[in-house]
Amino acid sequence: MPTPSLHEVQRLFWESVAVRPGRDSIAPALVRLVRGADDSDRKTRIRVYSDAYYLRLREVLREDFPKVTALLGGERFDEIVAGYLHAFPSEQPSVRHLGRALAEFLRSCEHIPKFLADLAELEWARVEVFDAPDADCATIDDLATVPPDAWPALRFSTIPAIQTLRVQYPAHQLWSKSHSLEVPAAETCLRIWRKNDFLVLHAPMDERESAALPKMISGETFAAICETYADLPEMDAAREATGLLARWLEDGIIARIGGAA
Amino acid sequence: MSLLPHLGHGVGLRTVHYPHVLDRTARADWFEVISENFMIAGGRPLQILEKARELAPIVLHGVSLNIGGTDPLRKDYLSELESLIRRFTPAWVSDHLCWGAIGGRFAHDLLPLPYTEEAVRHVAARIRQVQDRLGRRILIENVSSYITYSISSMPEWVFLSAIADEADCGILLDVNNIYVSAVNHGFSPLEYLSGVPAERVGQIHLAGHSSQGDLLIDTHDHPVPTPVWRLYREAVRRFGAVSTLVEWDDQIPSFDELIAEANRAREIESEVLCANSVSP
Repeated sequence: MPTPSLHEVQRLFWESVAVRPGRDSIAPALVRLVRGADDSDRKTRIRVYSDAYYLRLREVLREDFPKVTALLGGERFDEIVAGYLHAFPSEQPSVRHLGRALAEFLRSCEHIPKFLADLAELEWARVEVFDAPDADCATIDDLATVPPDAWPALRFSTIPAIQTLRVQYPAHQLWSKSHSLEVPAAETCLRIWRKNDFLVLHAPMDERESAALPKMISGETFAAICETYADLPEMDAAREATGLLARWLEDGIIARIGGAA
Repeated sequence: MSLLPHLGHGVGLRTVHYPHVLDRTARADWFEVISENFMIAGGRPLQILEKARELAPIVLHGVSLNIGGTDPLRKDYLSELESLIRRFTPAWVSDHLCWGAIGGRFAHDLLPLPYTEEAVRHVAARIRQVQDRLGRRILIENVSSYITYSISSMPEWVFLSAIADEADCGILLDVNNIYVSAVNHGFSPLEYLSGVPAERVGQIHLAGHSSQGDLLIDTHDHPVPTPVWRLYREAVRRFGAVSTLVEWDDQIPSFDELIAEANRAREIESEVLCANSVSP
């Protein structure tokens, strides 16, 4: 038998080790390549790696999706993980990216309540916000120096550590529960952000905020943000929009306040 | 390695220790951190690392370089490593003598290489490539293993030494890994130590392990056991004073207990060096 190349050895190893738990997928050619007392001993040694592959990555997903794990139940979650690793193996040197497609995978699974995919989306957004780029936050004092006639042309930039999410179920309510519950579908908009003290938070947004926040994120003016309240009398619209702005400042999601572009 | 400073006896910095970094009670000679955990855009871990390096020197220890793999080296990974080096100025950088990815898929494990001439040439060339890119010599660590390949044509210590010589890199000698592999494969750990070129050993790792049937598993979830301390004593006898680090990754004890392990390593080093200096 010709000596296999380094690449061939690694290919055989990978195919035998990166497998669903409980399946004996060890390639006979790999067994022949491994030293041991007998085939049983050789397979036992190889299984140390296949067990470690699954257990290590399962642990990463459990840590990144604690609420999905709790609602699904550990055993059911582990079954999901086995299928997920097969469909979406890790493609980045850092294991931090492993859970990138779990929500998508859950959505494709039959017999998995759809609200769990929404909850997974929320948990993944929290992971992404956790280590998004840093930025200093603007404060309410920064607004105090703005002359009244400059307000309509004001533009804002948000901190990088913010995401918005539109889901079909109230994922934030599911996140707060530690047990399974029946939740009716209800389209929900959430913002997920990281405060200056590195705490990751999320909050539901009403229709007006969910329309206004994308305008701020895309750099539109305060006047454009006020249009979200166009159905209200002018003074009420300005008051509501200013109140929203104050809340965003308090929550630490505005990084910079600037003039006209 | 003569080019590396002796940092003393440090500990692996893990997330459970972060509060001690923030309140500045994490007192250690030096910290080793997992490089990949800081390959992020921002957030708390990077702030912690900034604070940790105000307390003590840091070293970057990678797990995903895939130096023994046959996929091309990831340029994005090396760029991120370069950025970390620029920002945190580690005393040195290390990774493992293993492979961990193929076809763009990562196992996030330290998988064993066959000890062949082909692998020596392959790995040494890739280490040189990394060192050229980073503009610095790196250290390569021996890993624990549970299999060996029938196509291996040399013992592990000859493989490690040949690669270090051909690549002109340093060696991070993991004494626990030597012990674990020695038990699993039935070789002499002392023969291993005597086969490693002393001038290339820039760092030593110590850790605990577990049993699984007839095999020892490198779990980093126990105190350093007696046979590993004994082997460390021999390593100090052979290599002299080398920066030493205690790793503990699971069932992590209090920071004080971890420091106590590092202090024990310091005591052993002192005892051995003292005895050596009075030997005729």
